[in-house]
Amino acid sequence: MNKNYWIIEVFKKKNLPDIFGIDIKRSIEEIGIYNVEEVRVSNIYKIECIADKEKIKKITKELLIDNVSETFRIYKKIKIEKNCWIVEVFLKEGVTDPVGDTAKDTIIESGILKDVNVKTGKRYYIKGNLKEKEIKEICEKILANTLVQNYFIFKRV
Amino acid sequence: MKYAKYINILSADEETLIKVSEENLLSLDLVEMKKIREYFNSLGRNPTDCEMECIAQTWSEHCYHKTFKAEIQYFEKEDEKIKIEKINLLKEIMEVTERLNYDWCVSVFKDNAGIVKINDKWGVAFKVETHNHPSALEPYGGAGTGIGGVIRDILGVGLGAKPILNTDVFCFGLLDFPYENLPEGILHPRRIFRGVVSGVRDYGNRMGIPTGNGAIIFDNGYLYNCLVYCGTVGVIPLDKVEKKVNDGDVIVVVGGRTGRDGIHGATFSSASLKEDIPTSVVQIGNPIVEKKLQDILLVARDLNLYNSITDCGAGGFSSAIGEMGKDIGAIVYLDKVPLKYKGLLPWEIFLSESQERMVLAVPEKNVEKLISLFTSENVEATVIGKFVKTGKLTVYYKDEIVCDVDMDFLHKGVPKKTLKAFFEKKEGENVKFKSKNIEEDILKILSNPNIASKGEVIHQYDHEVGGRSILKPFVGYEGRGVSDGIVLKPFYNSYEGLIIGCGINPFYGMIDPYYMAGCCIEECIRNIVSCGGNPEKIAILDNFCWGNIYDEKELGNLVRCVKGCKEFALKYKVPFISGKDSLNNYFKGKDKNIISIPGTLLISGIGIIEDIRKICSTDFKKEGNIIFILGKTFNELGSSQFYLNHKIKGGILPRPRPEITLNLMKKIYLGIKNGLIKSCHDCSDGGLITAICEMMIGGNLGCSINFKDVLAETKEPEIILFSESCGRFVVEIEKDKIYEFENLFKNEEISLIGEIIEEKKILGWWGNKKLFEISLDKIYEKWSSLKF
Repeated sequence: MNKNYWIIEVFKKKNLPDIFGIDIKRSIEEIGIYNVEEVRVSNIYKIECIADKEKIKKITKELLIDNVSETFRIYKKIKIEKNCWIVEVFLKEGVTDPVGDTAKDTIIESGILKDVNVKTGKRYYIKGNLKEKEIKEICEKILANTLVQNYFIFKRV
Repeated sequence: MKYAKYINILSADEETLIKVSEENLLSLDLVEMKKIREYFNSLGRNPTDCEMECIAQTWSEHCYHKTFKAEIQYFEKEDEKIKIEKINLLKEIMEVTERLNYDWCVSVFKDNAGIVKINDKWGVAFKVETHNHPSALEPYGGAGTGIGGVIRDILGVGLGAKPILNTDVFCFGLLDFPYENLPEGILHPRRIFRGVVSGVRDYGNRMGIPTGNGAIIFDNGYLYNCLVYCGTVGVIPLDKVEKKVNDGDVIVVVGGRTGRDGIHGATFSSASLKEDIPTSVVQIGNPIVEKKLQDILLVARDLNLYNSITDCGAGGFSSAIGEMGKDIGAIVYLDKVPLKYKGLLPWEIFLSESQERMVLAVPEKNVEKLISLFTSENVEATVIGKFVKTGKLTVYYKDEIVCDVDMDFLHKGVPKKTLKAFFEKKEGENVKFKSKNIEEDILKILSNPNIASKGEVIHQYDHEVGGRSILKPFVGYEGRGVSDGIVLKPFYNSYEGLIIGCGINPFYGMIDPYYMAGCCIEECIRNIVSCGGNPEKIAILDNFCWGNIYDEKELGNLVRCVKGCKEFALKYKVPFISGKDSLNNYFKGKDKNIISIPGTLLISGIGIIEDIRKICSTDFKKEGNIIFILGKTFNELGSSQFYLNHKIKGGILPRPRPEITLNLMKKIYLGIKNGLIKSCHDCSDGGLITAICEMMIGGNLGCSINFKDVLAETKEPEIILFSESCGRFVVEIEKDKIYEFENLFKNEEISLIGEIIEEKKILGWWGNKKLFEISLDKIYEKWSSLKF
């Protein structure tokens, strides 16, 4: 079996406020962009390993999420939402990813997998009537520090 | 050569030498490059890239402190008269400690941190570092690694101390700076601010070390270069203070792996910020790795498994091993170093500043035991070389020698710099200024970002973890009041305690750095004393952050500041135990304009007390108690928050008066110790009125104050309310203890100014005339209005 990527997205349960999202929205308004309706933030774990979905589920439930406040989905391709920009921010190659490293160590230590690699990032769902230029500005000024991070914008439909 | 390459300097002319230095980001000047050429000429070969990097790093401002060790010709101009003297900055500072010669200063200016004695068995180590450049570029990672680095300094002092507290002081540009005026490539102060705070929070909290003392200063002088000071306090058994590398000791690296992160940090931080910056200088820390390292290291220390230790900070292995093997010599095998990923060049491995690594010197017989101990806790430990009496630093990569230089040349070969500095006194007369509306002025000062509550930030930090914090950053009613310092109880089985405070005020330095130094030293001592500290048992640390010191005037300011440090530290009888300077904090924009930060001095202090049950907090305790002000108020409004609010430049700076204040503080210490003083707060930024308001907020009580009764040079409301004169404390006394109190403070400058009332408001009187009346709610609302 070849190694493959699993992408796990961890987000706050719907009935709980997304504090990070609210904070980001406030920051966006501070730079003078006011037509943002909502921002939601989720954590992304890219897991490179040989494993089936059940195992990945087990890892996620036991190690990656807080079962009280968070929930997750596992998939291989990004879903694009209506009227919503999606931005992903990842650390550049070679920059230490402490969360990823710790997740990796923990997975190995728990005995679920022996050979695994984890990279982490953040995904932002930004709702509102925004132009691409504005999204770029938001990325550069708030979401990513291009010195150490790359950002990817997924166009809305 | 297969793995390294030679850099041709033997036949290079001056122009090429400079080019070599610039192209390789070495930050070496022509004199230094020539000295290196001369050395390699005597060897009859060119240096390798690894050698050049290693020398550049060892000689960098960051590691060698060239400016502080330089011979400076200092010109001071006052009233058309010019005084000239030769001065060595480091000697000036160290002279204080030498002259005071206290037996409780155990280790000063020679190790990673200064150590003072708590009792016969234990000492306390304190170190404050700066991490300005990295924080300006990647605030979260920069601040986090700043904390991580200073924690490792404490782990690497002596044979290792246990960290028990972090401190942090920041200087930023104003948070409401308009986005559209921000120059290209500069992060907005608000973004830096948020990143830095989360970085410190995440690293400190995850390490399980409380963050308990600090300050935040806002001024647009810090727009291009923010300042991030991180400090750590640790406790160490006194028999573990000395370390010595022996011939034959094995070099073991423990902790994190080596990657490309942080290459050129040392040389980079000695240069100015320009618009193009390499990615590799930025590091991101991993607190979990460091936590594991810390825990197992202290176990190994207590088993006496190693002879010496140091942290891998700026300059990486090159600095750590070079420093440890200074008097012996070392052989290093770089191919043995565990790497994060493949593809690193030998010099990159040697210079990398990857976080969470420490280097140990281990006797051969203990190596196996030590490695299995570390491995048992999932911390990597790897043998990478040996200390051998060769007097050389020899570095192999596989079978190739990539670096082979004499330790003597590396550590003593730095050409001594001679610099010129110039200072002109510019303190003017006081500016006459009448307040139009006192109430408005008071509220404006309380909501000024430099005065207002930093609660939103401080509450993000864990200041309880470890269970040692006795007096916390916030005190009183609902934890609203602000504390002068933090009191720690380091040992579970004794009441001995530590008090940590700090003093910083860059605004004074804009008029005269000499008095800024005095005021900062006094503020730091005052903070400790008003918590119940003994003024005769305080040690301090200096941290200078300065702008472009190639500018004679900037350097003149620095010299003037150091002179102030020496003068006032001697007068207050407080020894310096450690210090650090971060120079060249300036920004060079596209138009080649150089923008320096305001010269900033941070004084951090640590006081030792016998009994943590005899301390004092700032919050008012009980209605009916009476309020005294200790110390006299002078017409010293220069650079005060009142003047700054009204944009008035100039004026007279506060003058520290050690002869009077030191005596007063000794009595305050007694007063707190025997329970006479119920609450105590020092008057500093914002003057008397700010101190009183903060005490009210903490106590959730009101007070009635007659400001005319305050002992002052000139009886004017503006001066009494807002002057920031040194040597003043507001204290609360029970009514029936007044004779006892007045007896204790006989012959001191004290005045009874009012009492605590139940109504939640402040009544300000001027004789029989009511000056103002403000409700506590309004005061609290303004004071806590700062939103980050």
